[in-house]
Amino acid sequence: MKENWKEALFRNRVWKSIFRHGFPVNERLRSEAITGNLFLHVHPVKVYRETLEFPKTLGLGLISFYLFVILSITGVLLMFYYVPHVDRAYQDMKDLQFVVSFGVIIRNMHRWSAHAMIVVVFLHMCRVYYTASYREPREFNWVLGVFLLLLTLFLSLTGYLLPWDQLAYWAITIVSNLIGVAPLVGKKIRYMVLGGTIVGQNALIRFYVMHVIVLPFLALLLILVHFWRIRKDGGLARTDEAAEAAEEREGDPQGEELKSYGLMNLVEGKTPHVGQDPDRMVTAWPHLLVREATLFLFVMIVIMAMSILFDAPLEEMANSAITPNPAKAPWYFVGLQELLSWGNPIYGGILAPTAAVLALLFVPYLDRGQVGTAEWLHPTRRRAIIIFTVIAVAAIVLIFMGEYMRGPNWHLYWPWQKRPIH
Amino acid sequence: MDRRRFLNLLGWFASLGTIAGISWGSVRFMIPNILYEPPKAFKIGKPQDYPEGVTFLPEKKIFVVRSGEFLKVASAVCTHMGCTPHWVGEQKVWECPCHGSLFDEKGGVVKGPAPDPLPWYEAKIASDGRIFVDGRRIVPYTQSLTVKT
Repeated sequence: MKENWKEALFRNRVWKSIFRHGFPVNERLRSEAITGNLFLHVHPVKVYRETLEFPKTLGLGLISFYLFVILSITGVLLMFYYVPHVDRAYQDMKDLQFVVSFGVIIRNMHRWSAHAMIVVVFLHMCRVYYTASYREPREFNWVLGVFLLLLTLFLSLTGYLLPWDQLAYWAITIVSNLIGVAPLVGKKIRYMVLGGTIVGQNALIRFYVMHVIVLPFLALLLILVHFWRIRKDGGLARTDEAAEAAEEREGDPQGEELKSYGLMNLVEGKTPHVGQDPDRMVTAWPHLLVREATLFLFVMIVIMAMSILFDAPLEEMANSAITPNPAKAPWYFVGLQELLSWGNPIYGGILAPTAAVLALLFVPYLDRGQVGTAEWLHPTRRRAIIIFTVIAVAAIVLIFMGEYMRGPNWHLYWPWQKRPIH
Repeated sequence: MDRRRFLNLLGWFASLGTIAGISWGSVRFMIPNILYEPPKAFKIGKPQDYPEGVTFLPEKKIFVVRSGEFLKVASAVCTHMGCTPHWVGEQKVWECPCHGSLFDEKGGVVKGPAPDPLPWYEAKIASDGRIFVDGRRIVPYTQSLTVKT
C-alpha cells in the first residue's frame, strides 16, 4: 500500500524507457547497471577489493577529478558575468563580489578549488610515487600524469591574470619576464604568450582563451586517456599483480595482461577469472560507486566551507605605474621565483624546472623493480624514496621561503618579523 | 519508523535538499540584480528647443510632439516587433517600415499588425527648466505638458 508511489515512479513506461534494467539487486543487474550506462561504463563491472582500500590511495586522483569538475561548472557560471577587456574585467570582478547573487561564493569556490587542485595533484603524484604504482604496465599513465600536472599549473596561471587586479598584473609580469630569460627563444616565446611586449589587452584575451577553452579541453582529453589507461592496465596497482602476472604467463601461452574478464567471443584464449579467488573482487555497483559518491560529498563540503568562510583576494585595479614591493608570482611559482633570486636566472628559472620535469618523466622507466608495488614506502625502495622526498621537500621549502620570508626588495625576513612600513 | 528508516530518510532529505539548494543558487546567480543599460527616465532639452510638430530623438527612441503650447512625448518603438516608425507629415501618421503598421497622431493603431497604440510617456519640467521624460510612466493622450513660449 505505502509502496504505491514507488510503483508509479519506477514502473512507468517513461522511467523504464530510460533505465532499461531494474534496480541492481543481483549480480547480473549490477553488471548491466555498469555496462549499460554511458557514464558508468568507464568503470569495470568488478574491481579488486584491495584497490578499494582508502589508505592505499587516499582517493587523491578522484579528488583531483572532482575539483576539475567543480572548476569547470563554477568557471562557466563566472563566464556569464566576466568580460576579458581591460576596461571591464576588474569592474566585473567587483560585480561578482558585491552585486551578483551568490557571486562571491561561486568565485570563492573557483579560486579555492584551483589552489586545492594543485595541492591535491601534487599529493596524488607523491602517493603514486611512494607506492611505486607507476611501474610496468603503468609507465605511460605516469607520463600522462606529469603532463596533467603541468596543465593544472598553467590553467591556474592563465586564470590568475583574469581579475586584472594588482596581484594578477604583477604576478604575470614576473612570470612573463621569467619566460623571457630562456636562451635564444625566450623573448620570442614571451612575445607569443603575451601577444606583444607588455601585459595588456592582448595578453588578457590570450590568457582568457587558453584558460576557458584550450587548456581545459587538453586537460579533459588527457584525463579521459588517464582513466582509459587505468582500465587497460587492469585497474589500480595491486600488491600481488607481479606474482599473478608471472603465474598467468606460465599457465597461459599468450601471457598477456590481466583482466577480470575478457571479450570472450572475439579474442581467443581469454577466459574470465571464474572460480579463481572470487573473494578478491567485488562489483563496482555498489562498492566502488558508493565510495566515489562519499568522496565527492566530502570534497563539496570542504570546498563549500572554505568558500563561505574565506574570500578570495581582490586588490586594487591593475596599475602599470605602481609596482607592489615585493611583487610575487602565484604561490605555486613563487618557489621558482625564490630560486631565481639566488644566481643567474638561467639556472633557477630554466635549467632547474626543466631538469625536474624531465626527471619526473623518466621515473617509471628508470625503475625496474618488482618488489613493493602498491605498498607504501617499501624498504627496498629506500634510496628512491629519499631522493624524491628531498626534492619534494626542497620545492615546498622554496615556496614557503618565497611566500613568507621575503619582504620589500626581496630581503629575507622571518615570517613573524614585521616588514618596514612604506 | 526504525533507526534504519530514519537515517535513510535523513540521508535522502539532506542529499536532495543540497542538490535543490545548489540548483536554486545557480539559477538565482544567473538573474542580474543591476543593469548597466541606458535609464528609462531621463532629461532632454528645454521646451523651447523643440519646434512645432514631431521631432524624433533617435538615441532616446522617442518623439517630442509639440502643438501650440502643448508638448507630449511618445515612444518610438512599434508595439508589433519593436522597429522604429517614422512620421509621415502629409498623412499625419506614423508608419512602421517593418510590417506597415500605421499609428495616427494620437498614437492609436490605424492599420497593420501592431496590437497596441504607441504609448505616451509622462513629461514634466525639471528644476533646471529641462523636460524630464519618465519612460516608466505611461500617461493618456489627453495629458500634456503646457509650455509658455
